[in-house]
Amino acid sequence: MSSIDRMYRLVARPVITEKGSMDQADRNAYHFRVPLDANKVEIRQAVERVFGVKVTAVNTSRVRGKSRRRGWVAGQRPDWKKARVTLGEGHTIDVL
Amino acid sequence: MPPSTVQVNVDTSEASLAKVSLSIPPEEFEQEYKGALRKVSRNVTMKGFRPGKVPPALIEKRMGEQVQKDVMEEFVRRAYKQALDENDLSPLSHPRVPNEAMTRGEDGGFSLDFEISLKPKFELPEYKNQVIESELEPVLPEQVEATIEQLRRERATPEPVGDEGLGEQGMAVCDVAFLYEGEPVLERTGLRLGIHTPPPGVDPQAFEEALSGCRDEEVRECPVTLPEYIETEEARGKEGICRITVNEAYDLVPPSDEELWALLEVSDAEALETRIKEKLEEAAEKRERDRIEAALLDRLIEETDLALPAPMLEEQTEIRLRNLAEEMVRQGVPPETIKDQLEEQRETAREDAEKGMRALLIVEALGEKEGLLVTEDEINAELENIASRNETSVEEVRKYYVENGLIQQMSIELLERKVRRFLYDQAEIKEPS
Repeated sequence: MSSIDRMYRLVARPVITEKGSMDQADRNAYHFRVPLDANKVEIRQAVERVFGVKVTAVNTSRVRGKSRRRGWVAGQRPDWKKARVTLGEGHTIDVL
Repeated sequence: MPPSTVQVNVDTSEASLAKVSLSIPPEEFEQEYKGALRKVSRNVTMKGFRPGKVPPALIEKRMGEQVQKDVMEEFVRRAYKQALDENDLSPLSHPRVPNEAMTRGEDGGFSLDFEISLKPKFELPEYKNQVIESELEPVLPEQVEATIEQLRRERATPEPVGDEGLGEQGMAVCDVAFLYEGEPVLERTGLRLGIHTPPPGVDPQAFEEALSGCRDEEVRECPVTLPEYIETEEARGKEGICRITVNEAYDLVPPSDEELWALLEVSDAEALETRIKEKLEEAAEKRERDRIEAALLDRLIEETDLALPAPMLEEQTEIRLRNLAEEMVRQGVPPETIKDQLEEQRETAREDAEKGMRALLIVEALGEKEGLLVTEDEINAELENIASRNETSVEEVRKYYVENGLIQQMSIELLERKVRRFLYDQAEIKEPS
């Protein structure tokens, strides 16, 4: 996978939730669902290159997949990684 | 809180037409728009958000265009209402605003011009004491006699034919087949035919000769010109054979005088004649009353000086033509024929629309002037009548009328009935000369 592809893959899935909207309003932070193996440095580079903005901080967390049961069969959704990307003042992303 | 009034200018210089100009400054539109977004966000549900917690900014991105349109429609509604209230206008119909006109200006404001067709102002001509000549004719003894004969025929009982076979007054239950080159192209079973009621396309003379004197289980044939509606295309309009298989042949035996009197619950011939004469007179009087009522209303429509607004007339004509087109589509008329026929019918549709609108305006004006109002009770009584005629419940009928928006149409019909009755009661009916 080329580095360009990887970059787009990193920012392809914005997480649009009530919590994310509040974070956006409070500290200009945008939430993305990123691959589990993504690191903060490449996330920062991807957001800066793809959206042309200044990133001041990247916080990541691993989200445990929820348990799911279908009749007798118990299962679990995959874990995923959430990245909260804080932008510099005056920078915005049109994530919709 | 949004402002309850909008900036509207109404130009009423043209008769029967009000030109309304609506102008909303950018700040006012923006305020209303934001308010609408907030209102929508309170009700919308979206994945990732608790109900009612979606930020207005997100709503704007996803549904902004629709919300903006709703705000514009709300402004138009307010402007329409305000224009009517402030200028004391009586609209003939709702204004029609083209979709493309519903756009925000470059400065973020909203302005729109639209027209309202108004009820034309007119004076009713003198409608009381109208002189009209009755055309009621007395019931003649021959009419009474003919009606009794008719009743006798209707109450005839079928009896199997004798040796002489099917006669003048008989009836046969038959299967009929149209044959083309020996092959059946149309078949019908269980038809009830008399010797004077041939199937379509069959020569009456030949049919009468073929069927006269026939008995049960006999097969008769006569020539037929095959009709255009049969499925076999090559046979249409060609000469063929009509094969009639008589299943059962009957003589229709009319009741005797005494039997007829008993059936009609009268004691003798004189009582029967009196009863029939009364019924015929009653029917003739009702027909004559209907004729006079219609003639009086037609006269009033003709004598009233009333100019209808051209756009409204055009719209009504188009509605009539559209209904006609839909009817033709249902009947399976080809599209190119429909187009031609609609053009042919345009003038008639226009005349009908004009007459209908004139009648409506005149009936409304006269009803208002004379206080002939249609009450809730009268509407309920009419619904009950319809229910009893159709052997269903009043609730069913009411539901149907409400769902199809027919209540208003019904009240107009009731008003017309009242106005016609009023004109009749006020008229001077002269005896036939």
